[in-house]
Amino acid sequence: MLEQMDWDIRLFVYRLFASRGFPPAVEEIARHFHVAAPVTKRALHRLHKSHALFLRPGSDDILMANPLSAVATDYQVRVGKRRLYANCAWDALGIPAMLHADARIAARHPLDRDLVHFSIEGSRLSAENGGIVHFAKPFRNWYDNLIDT
Amino acid sequence: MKGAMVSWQKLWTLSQRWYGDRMSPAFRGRTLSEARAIFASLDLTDDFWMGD
Repeated sequence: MLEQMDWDIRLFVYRLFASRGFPPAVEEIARHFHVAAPVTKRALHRLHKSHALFLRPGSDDILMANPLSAVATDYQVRVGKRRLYANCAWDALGIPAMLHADARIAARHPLDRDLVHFSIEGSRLSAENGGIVHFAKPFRNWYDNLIDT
Repeated sequence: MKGAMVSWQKLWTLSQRWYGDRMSPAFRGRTLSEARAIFASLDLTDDFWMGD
């Protein structure tokens, strides 16, 4: 069961991550909330277990706060001057949806590796060349291994 | 091909419904029922989306 501080940390992570393109580290979170690092780590692991965000395997570092990725991916999203990375095609659209902002998206096709461009302006999607998105795993299996998904 | 195919336009609508409240201080995650309601609102109702 998540506590109020866990949710507060989650929101702090999301706000910082979205504003600058990378998540805060444990020490930064701990300083902001005036708590010790071990307390922060426990909160992050509770959030990870609850799928509220995701840590790098075997570490306390944030890898994903969906739709945001802490590492460069094939899904780059420009929001104003910010360059953000998404975890997948859905998350690439999820970033402007989450921020309620215009965006330009460059997505690399998984098979031929060509770049496909999209834009969101005034909540309208414009696609360079239509197309469809393929979901390989059914919803019930997404969280079995979210990195793999 | 196995899996599900979704148009980019439908995916954009899905993204708005899925992620639109993600930065809200009141966001507390989503139950399975709530997730399925979002899928259903876009006629994503087959076993791929709704299955247990």
